[in-house]
Amino acid sequence: MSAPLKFCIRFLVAFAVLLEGFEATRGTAVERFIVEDAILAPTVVLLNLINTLFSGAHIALVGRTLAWGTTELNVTRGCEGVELFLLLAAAIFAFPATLMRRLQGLAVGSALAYCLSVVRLMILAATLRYEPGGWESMHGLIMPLAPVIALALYFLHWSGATGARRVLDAHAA
Amino acid sequence: MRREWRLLAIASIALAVGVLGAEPYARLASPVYAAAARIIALGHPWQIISIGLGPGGSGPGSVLRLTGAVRARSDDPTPAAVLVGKLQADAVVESPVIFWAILLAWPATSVRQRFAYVALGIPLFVCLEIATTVCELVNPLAYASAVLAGNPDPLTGWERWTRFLEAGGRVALALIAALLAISLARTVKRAA
Repeated sequence: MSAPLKFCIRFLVAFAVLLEGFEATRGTAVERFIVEDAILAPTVVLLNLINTLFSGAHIALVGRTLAWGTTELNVTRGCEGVELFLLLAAAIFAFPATLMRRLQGLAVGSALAYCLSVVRLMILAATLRYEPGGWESMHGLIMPLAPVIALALYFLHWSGATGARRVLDAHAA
Repeated sequence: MRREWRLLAIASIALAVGVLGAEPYARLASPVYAAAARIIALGHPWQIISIGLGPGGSGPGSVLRLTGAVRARSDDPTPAAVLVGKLQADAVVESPVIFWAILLAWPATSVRQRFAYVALGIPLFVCLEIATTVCELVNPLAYASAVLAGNPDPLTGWERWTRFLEAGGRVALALIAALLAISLARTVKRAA
């Protein structure tokens, strides 16, 4: 079996397992903590901080809805950005590397995925508020993919540093 | 050019193409989606009435709509429910953008090899589109069937699959389908 194919299978299995694990938290306190306390609350704090400097408008977090005046961004499951971390974790697991390299990759990558999730929600909220005409493209294509691309760049950097990428490169050449 | 910069350039172009081409792509692909949905419906008491692109309810973007009828039993003369499955045009184009960007940007030693990537990629791409867009569009029909069967709050396999797609599965599948096409092309080349 070729190295890219092996990577694909391991990646898909790892992603499915991680996703199923997160799915199991649906409706629990763990999910509420991850989505509402760890992602949405800091997003609202940052948006309010920026608003204090510019418009002075206040954004409230009502459940999983970011209420910004008459604009309301309802963050449903799958829009909160947890999948970014799961995709990265699955890719790091699937790639041949030492345990230490994997842990390093996960630690830095998790921080990056978290920042990307928060920034994505901030951009989506601002788009809905100030440029609703661009909402469909931002929500449907750009904002789901741009953070994935950023993480893919990080993954390339990380995998290059492991030296094991030569295996994949040899197959690609 | 370093691989990272190359990826960034390709990804930016792919995103721009995706934004500009989402609606025409969804419109062009509608007959294929309709045909695939009708094949899926064969084993179920479902009837695909139409699939088409139309204006979204609340925004300026377009939405791909599948309208389908669900019967309690296949031989029932009248449908018990008519449902609409919806997907944003920009979301429809997500997996094609990833798949073709990887396939066309992956290093190839010759035009012949690139052609092999594309030739083997086409059937995989059709499977990818069915597994993602079509399955997501027919999900409401499966839900209605389960409700008609007596389950008031069903969690069908179609719903679980849709959740998987919505939670990053679409990206993962597109990536894997592209790498699979590349891997198959290289295997075929070695065997030849």
